[in-house]
Amino acid sequence: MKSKLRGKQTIAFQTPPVILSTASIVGPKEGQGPLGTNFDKVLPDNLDGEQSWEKAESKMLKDAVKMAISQAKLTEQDIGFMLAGDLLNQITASNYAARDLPIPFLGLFGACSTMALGMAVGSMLIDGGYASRVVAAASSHHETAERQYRYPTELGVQRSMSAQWTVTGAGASLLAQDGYGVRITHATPGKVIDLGITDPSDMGSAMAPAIADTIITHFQDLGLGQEEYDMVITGDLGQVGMNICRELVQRAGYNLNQLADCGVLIYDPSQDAHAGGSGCGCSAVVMNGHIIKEILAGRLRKVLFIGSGALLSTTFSQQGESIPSVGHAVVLEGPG
Amino acid sequence: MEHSDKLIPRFRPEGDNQNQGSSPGMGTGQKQVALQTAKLNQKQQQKQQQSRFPEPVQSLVDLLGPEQPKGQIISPGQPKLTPQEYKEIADRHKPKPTILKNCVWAFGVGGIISAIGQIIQNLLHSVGINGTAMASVSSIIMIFLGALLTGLGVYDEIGKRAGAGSIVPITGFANSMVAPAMEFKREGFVFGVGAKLFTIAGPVLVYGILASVIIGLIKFLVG
Repeated sequence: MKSKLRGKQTIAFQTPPVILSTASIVGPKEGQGPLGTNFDKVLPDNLDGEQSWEKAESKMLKDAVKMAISQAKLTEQDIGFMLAGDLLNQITASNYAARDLPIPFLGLFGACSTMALGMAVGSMLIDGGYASRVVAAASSHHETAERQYRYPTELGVQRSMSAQWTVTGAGASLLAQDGYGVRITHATPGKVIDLGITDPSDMGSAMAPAIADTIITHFQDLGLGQEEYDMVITGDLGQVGMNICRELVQRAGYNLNQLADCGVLIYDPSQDAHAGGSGCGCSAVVMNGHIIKEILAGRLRKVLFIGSGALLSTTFSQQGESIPSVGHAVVLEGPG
Repeated sequence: MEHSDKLIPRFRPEGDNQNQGSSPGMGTGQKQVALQTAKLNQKQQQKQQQSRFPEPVQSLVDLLGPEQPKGQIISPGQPKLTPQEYKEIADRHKPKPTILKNCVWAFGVGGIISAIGQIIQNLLHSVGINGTAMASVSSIIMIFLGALLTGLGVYDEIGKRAGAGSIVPITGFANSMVAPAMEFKREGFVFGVGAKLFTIAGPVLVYGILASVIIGLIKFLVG
């Protein structure tokens, strides 16, 4: 059997899986952002009629999965596996969403890179012949993340300028063996890299080296130049991390003028999100609600999407550890 | 031996002579030699296996010893990027904290809160409440106001801009108690509110009480 591995760590799919349908659900703040009209559903508030924020996040994820399936005019029985993850301890938002769905569930944790990780692993399952349809999803919620990683939400604290705002949102992609849609042609799972940043309110700086490493490795593995992609979009580096990433990639000889970041796109500077959005939901809703639709509409031809994850916990952070990070890349190509 | 060989066929190196080693046409001495070389081969192979797996994918620190700077090869063909070098790059891109603006806000809001406290004290004084009773009653009123504004979702909006200006006054202490109380109510009154109530205020109390004990001891010993 011909190897599908290219270079060091890039996978070239023999039969690139197709993204049959997408779903994106966001909170009100994201709905008021520049991409607000692109999302499939905007919640009236961050509780959405649930008893707690955690339950609201779980419901949002479940609804996104259901929405993606129904938009492809399929039923839950048609789906081979569900791959999902979130930021809560023990990825509970996903676990509880999967509880209510009759789909075999593989939980993923890649912190904020989970959407890219799900697309990559889902594509491997499909191209490997283990499933004909897979749904990949991810979610995050501003309040659940705040209370888990930072302070109680009503505490009057000042956020640093490099801090990011966790997106309330859930996105899902339905991947299939065949059909019409955006294709996932390659995937480059990333290495975990840590260059000693310890400030949890500066995740962009912590994640930038891992993302730069994945981008450079991807280009080297496939022998590509910077002009190959219309857009190279990172998950949630934010403004600070994106600028650092651009410089690191430049050191390797690539000038990525087309570099964008989901965290920068999702909020307007007037929305007081400081360096931009973050969280699993950030790239999940921007990719599923905006970028994939742009590719389908022909405005973008070929996009390199790198999910960026800061793999920290408050416990390790308080014990003085720095922040290990990872970047997982997938290549999205227009149909035809 | 033969059994165990069969059990681990995957670890047999390519071009291994183990199969030939136990071929029936050999004498016993030859067999033993062959077995020994086979064992040696196996050991070597195990070593190779071991050295093949821990490829230095991310940190060279383990292989090069602790003296070497910890770093990552981000750009192929270029030297490792050390944490020190990276910190310089990252710091260059870090937005400057708006110190002056923050100070003005903290000064203004802190001053306003203190002025409100003073107005309350003056009012209390005018109705005949004086001394420690005045201090206690005004503190109680300020704590109530801080708690009320937290409950209404206003205090975090003030704190976002004012920083220490709204943390240092006693209203900030009220905020640090009421915010966790509201937050953890959903986890129940015992393990939620009860257990988490002091998550923010706890350190202040611990070290405040510790400091007062030490100062009390000093005062006792000195005079």
